[in-house]
Amino acid sequence: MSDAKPGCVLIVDDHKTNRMKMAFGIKNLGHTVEMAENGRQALEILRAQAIDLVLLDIVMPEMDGFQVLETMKRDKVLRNIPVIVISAETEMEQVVKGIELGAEDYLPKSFDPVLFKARVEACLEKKRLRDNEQLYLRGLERELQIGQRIQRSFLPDSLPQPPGWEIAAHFQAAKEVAGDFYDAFWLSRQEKIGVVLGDVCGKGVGAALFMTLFRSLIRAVANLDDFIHTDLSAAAANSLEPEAVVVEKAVTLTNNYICHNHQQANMFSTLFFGLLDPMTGRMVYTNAGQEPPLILSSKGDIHRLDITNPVIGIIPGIKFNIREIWLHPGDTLLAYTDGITEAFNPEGQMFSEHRLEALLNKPIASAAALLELIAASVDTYMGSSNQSDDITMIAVRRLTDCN
Amino acid sequence: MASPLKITVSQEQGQVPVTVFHLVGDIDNSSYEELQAQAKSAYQAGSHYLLLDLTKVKYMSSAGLRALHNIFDLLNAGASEETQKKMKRGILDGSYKSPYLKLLNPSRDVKRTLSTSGFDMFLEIHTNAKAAVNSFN
Repeated sequence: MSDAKPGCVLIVDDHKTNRMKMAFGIKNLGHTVEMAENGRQALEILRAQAIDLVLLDIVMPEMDGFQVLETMKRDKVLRNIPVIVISAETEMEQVVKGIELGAEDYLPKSFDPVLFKARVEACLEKKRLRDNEQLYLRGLERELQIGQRIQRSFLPDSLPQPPGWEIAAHFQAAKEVAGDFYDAFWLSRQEKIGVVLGDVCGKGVGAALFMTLFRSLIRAVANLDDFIHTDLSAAAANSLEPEAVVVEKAVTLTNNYICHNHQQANMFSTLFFGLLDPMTGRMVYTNAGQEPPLILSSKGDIHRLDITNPVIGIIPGIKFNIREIWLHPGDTLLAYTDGITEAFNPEGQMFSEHRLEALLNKPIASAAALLELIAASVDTYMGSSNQSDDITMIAVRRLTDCN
Repeated sequence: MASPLKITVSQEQGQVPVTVFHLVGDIDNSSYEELQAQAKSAYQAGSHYLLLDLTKVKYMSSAGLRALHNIFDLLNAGASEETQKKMKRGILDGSYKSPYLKLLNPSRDVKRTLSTSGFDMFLEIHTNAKAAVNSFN
């Protein structure tokens, strides 16, 4: 008997003497035994309890061994249970057919103890390895699902919708977890809305871990005056306006924090961070290495914002440049990650800016509808090719008076 | 549709010995670690000046940028603290480009990736192989 946990072996044979011989051999090896006289009974047992190996006779009344094998291989669960075909030495054709139908091995009816032990133990060992592999994979899958759920909680549940404005977002990860992030949040003491879009380099778990860090730092530092109950705008004295101070402090502290604490990881992020005053339509922003967001006017004009700085997380002490724009009634700001423009079709060509801009010539029904249109077009373009990067967009639309 | 990255290495003699990586394919999530690993091997074998020939690289994702940053740090690792400080100041005022890592002939798309991310602030981009090799000193 091996050191491994005993297995449960199902013996299927219409001859009682054969069943008894095999049962004796199996018990001697330290395993437990279930028995069936025909195929129908065998399938009933297989469906009712956990079996690790089937010793299967071929010629049986009611349902023969081949039918059992075929049924097992069609079944998602039963197909993983190894089967050893039992045959007389003169029935090699049946053995071959059994192997073709998915049996692991065969045993002659002479039941030589050495052969019997070797084949039964080899098949049970394979089954144990397969079970462990399945267990490990299921564990990994569960961990990834937990990671995915936790990561999604770093994206906002709902977006601010100030009167006269629409804010919508679209997020589509290439893997279970993503490096892209977006955010929109009220800065209550400022009565302004922070709008964020970023893309941490790479994909998967590493990017996802850093995504949570970048996103949290930006939101926390932008809200610093709320958290520590001081007034940043007062602290700014008269040298800089409060909105610019908030944006600059948020990106500067985030950049320096990552550079000083995580330099070894070589992880950085693109970042668009705008602070919108919904009363006036003015937005101050910084754009660190992020694809320039677009302003779509109600007349169909497209204007690109500036790239103000390199990506954050690689150059400590860098001074972030702050710009301003005005969103007029009917204007929409669209920020997107390179998962849109660098989506590949099956021929290996990229979606590119020109295909994106071609979608933006038509009047926009709503911010959400605009994002749906772009996402659907990119999806159609990718066709059968895999999504190679995370796809994230955020749109901020100022309604016209008649809306 | 990604094309796998192939790296061939040659040694050139300019003012100093320069290791040239001729890259063919995409530098993306599936290949950036290989590029980092090869650069590390070359560095450990004594190469201090590295030119990446990007002529045949069609696409470089942010993972590729990560590899460039990693190699940039690797080649700077031996610099004294004073030099490191100078370098950081130089990057901030735009006067510093890495003397150890340079790029040759990036495609229009790759160049755009480099400029959008700001990597061209500290990496020299050359269009002539001989001039690129001779620029290391």
